Amino acid sequence: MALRRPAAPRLRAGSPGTHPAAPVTTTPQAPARPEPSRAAATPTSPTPPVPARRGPGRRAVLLAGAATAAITGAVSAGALLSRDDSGARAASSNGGGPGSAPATEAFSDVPDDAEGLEAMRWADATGVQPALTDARYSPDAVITRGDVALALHRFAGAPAVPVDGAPAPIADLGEDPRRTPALLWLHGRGALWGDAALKVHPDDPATRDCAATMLTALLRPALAGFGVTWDPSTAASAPQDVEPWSALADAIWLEAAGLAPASLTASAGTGDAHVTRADLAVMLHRANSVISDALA
Amino acid sequence: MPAPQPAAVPAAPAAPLPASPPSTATGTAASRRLLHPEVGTRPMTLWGSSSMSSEGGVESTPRPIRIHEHLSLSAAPATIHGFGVGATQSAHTLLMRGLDTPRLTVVGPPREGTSRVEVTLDSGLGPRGPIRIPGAVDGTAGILDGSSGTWSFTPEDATLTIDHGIFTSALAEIATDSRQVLWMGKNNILDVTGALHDTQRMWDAAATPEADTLVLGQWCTEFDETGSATGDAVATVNAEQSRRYGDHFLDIQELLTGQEGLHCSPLAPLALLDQATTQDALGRGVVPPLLIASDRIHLNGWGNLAVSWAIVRRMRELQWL
Repeated sequence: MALRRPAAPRLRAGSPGTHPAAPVTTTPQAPARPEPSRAAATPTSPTPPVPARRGPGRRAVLLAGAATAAITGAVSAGALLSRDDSGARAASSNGGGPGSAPATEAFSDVPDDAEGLEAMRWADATGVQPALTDARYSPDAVITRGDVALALHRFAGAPAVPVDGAPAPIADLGEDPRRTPALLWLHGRGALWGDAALKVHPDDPATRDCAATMLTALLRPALAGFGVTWDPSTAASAPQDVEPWSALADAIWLEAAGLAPASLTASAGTGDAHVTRADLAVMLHRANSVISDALA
Repeated sequence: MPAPQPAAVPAAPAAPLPASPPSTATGTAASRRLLHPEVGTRPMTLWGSSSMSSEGGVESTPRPIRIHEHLSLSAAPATIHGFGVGATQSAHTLLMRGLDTPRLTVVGPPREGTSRVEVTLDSGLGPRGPIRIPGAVDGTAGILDGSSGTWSFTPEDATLTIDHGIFTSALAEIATDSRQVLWMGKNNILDVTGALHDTQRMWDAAATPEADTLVLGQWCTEFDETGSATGDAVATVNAEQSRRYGDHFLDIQELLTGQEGLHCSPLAPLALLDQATTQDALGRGVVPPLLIASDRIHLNGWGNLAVSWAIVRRMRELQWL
């Protein structure tokens, strides 16, 4: 994954972003995170987080190797779930990193020189997209739309949502105790919408276009509220005459904001390209740097 | 006559139930602050008429879409108070908000077996739609009810009676610390000055007027096409409110007739601009029929979904959510 420096964001004069209205919320139980830094605007070098190792619960459900090897789905049914969540899930078997470089101390399937390593360590440490086992991150596992929703919900601190009461506005919400509130939360935030049948297809593979649409819809208005905006035309691969409501426009915005991995830029393939766990970790890691800057 | 809609009862669902919250906070302090800010816990009150109560939202979509329900999801754990009442005019909203405090006069004996008495308001305001307002007449709590076509007042305590007195809405107390969404005035849109004035009074009543209100603009039905009296009035009111309220004004007519709005994520599956009926409607300056309920004057589920999308996006830009 080649990394690019994003264009500088625009700060509106007198915007809340220039004068934060409230102190940064801290939570005693919050895991270690990268310190906000101006340098973090360059997403190639966010301050490395200290990997937080969780308690023995994760190890207790570590898959037996044989069982893991038997699962070979191309798309994970729950690639985001950690050992805490479900134990054995498909993606843990097929996401091994390139084989030549030695594995990192953190993950046996991620080489030391993997470009997204820091992001994966961060995503694991913050619980946004934890490793699937103690030893394996499965960076190349393709994720689903539901996985993206779950990661974004966790990125926000997994806020509680009203799962009872109002009729569900999503037809295929399901009853997964973690994914259901994530889908509802993302819908409530205006970042996940259904098709003509009001289905959001959480088990479908996440593509560049759908991930870009969800991330952009979630982040762009909130950052704009702090006066931080980007001109998508500054994205290196921005083509001419992009319809502003298109998924391509969202991908270009992600690129302009410096969030898109090279493999998911507007010029790096089609909107149908699948998103991997490593891709999502990189995007959210960079987003965290951008947000930290915006709130600083 | 539709069933009475108690204005005092929030249309929002019950308080949110935490769904398996993680044992430790996920994300970072920065991401949590941006995406789930503490400032988003203030209650919201939604004021207006039938559009604000999402009449028509049960049509066309596989599931009912009501704006207050979507906002309950968006704003959780904040409470949403849905005070939209169909058929009401902007003056009724002022009465419900407690900004008008008319003097009630009893005009007949209590209805047999009840403490309910017919009353008139010295403001001359007549009842409209299923309006029922909790409040008090000089300290006597009860319900001011216009849902039968005449005003009546029923004391909570059946042993109490009133002859006359000043009515004050109890909803004023709920509204005091709330942010507010105003979608009012369409039912008296030909009184452009009155609609603007009443909306301005609601705006001014907020705790922090420049920050606490989102005004939704009016949209044009089949009966409000370009060049009609009501179409021109809608355009005038929208233009003036856009000028007055800036980012705190949401142009619903532009949302539902403009290219970007008709391509918004919730409407994308409909491919609206490929439909001949849409092009015909846009040529007349009215909202496409695929977004309209069968009564031709309210938004259907798709229309409500688009409005919800726009409201949430604007609220997030305003740091309400």
